[in-house]
Amino acid sequence: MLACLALLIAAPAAARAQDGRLAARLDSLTGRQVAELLDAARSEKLPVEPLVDKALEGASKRAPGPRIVDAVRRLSAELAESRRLLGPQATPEEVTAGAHALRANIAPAALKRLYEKRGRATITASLAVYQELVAQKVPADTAAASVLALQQAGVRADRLATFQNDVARDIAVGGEPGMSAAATSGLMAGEQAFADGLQTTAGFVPDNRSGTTRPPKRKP
Amino acid sequence: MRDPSGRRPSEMNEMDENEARRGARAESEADELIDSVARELRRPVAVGGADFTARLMAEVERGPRPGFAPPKRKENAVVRVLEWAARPRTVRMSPLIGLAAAAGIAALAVLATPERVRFVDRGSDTAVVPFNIKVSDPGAPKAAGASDSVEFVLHAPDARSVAVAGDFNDWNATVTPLARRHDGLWVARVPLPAGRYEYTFVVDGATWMPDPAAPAAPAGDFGATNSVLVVGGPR
Repeated sequence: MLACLALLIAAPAAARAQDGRLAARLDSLTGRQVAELLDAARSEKLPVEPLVDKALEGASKRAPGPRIVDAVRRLSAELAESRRLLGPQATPEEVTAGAHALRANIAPAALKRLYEKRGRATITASLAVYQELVAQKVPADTAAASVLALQQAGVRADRLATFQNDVARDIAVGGEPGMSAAATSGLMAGEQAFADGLQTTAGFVPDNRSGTTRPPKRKP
Repeated sequence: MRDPSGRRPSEMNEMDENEARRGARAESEADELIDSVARELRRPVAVGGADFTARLMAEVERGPRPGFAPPKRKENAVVRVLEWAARPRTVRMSPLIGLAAAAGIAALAVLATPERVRFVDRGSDTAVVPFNIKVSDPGAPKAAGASDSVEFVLHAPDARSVAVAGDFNDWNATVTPLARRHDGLWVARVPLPAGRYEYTFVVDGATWMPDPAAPAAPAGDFGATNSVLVVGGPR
């Protein structure tokens, strides 16, 4: 009895808060099973908040207990796979984004490469663009290749959103999703390469506010 | 030998000469007549005195006299407007004005293009970009933990209540209600820190529906798919 009390006192405040949220929304059996999954995830240094959110989502949508547990277990496996691919230095946000991308059928090798070649853009923004492309029926391989091309070209995260919108617009007027993504990414990567070339050869420097380049300052 | 007229050759020569002389005289007289007529026609005619031209132009400017106005064509206003619009006109503008007009037309074309602009961001240093990816202005420092304000909008004129539930509110369908506007839109503004969120609308407390204007999350675990929102943060 005293040992149990000590364990409760020693538990991290966040874990207690999570348990509190889950206890209020899940039945006891489901709550216990989900709590075990959360403990396992913590021990593997995986982010647990996405798992809690998944359980709460199931509870709000009045899903059966076993279905909630299965959903949490599946997401935990995806987080583990993402961590394995990205490595221990990846942030919890990146691991979570990687797990969602895996759910969206990104090839593990593509995810790993995206992380290795992330350049100026954050992987979270790149993976969000990837998921949106897939949602628009762009083949997973093409979507990953497009985002990787933009990342390697050093396209900024805000321009990734522009790329996404350009592809959506092209698809909306009848463009084939894969071709639209490939063509638009090639065009944007080329533009970025040109801008980089200007910087390298003529001293033009990027204007971070406007996304353009400006000429080098003249010496007085 | 006599010619068919009965004249002898000697008589014929004299007569021919007389005939020729008479012909030449007639021609000469005709030429003189023509010349005199031509001279007369070319002679300037004095009309109305020295100020005739000025008086004539004054009359022209005054317009038609009553009784001499051309009859008005019976046509309706539409025809008159069409004729006015169809008449070619010369428009003069400077190159600068022309460029500005072209830029304005291009801007209208862009703005008129349907956008999947899902969220409106005001009052923060985040640049609004298409779709729902919100990325901070790279040039502006972002305070740690600062939130971006996100606006959720759903067109549901027949709904009695609309709420949004997602990762940001523990999927609680009661803590984030949307307010109804007169045009059938339901709106709520929610401050959110940077991150990726899944969410869905809850209509009339029972119907869970994704945001029709937002990207869909991968296949959901509990039936209907969720919508995805990405709020940008520091790079």
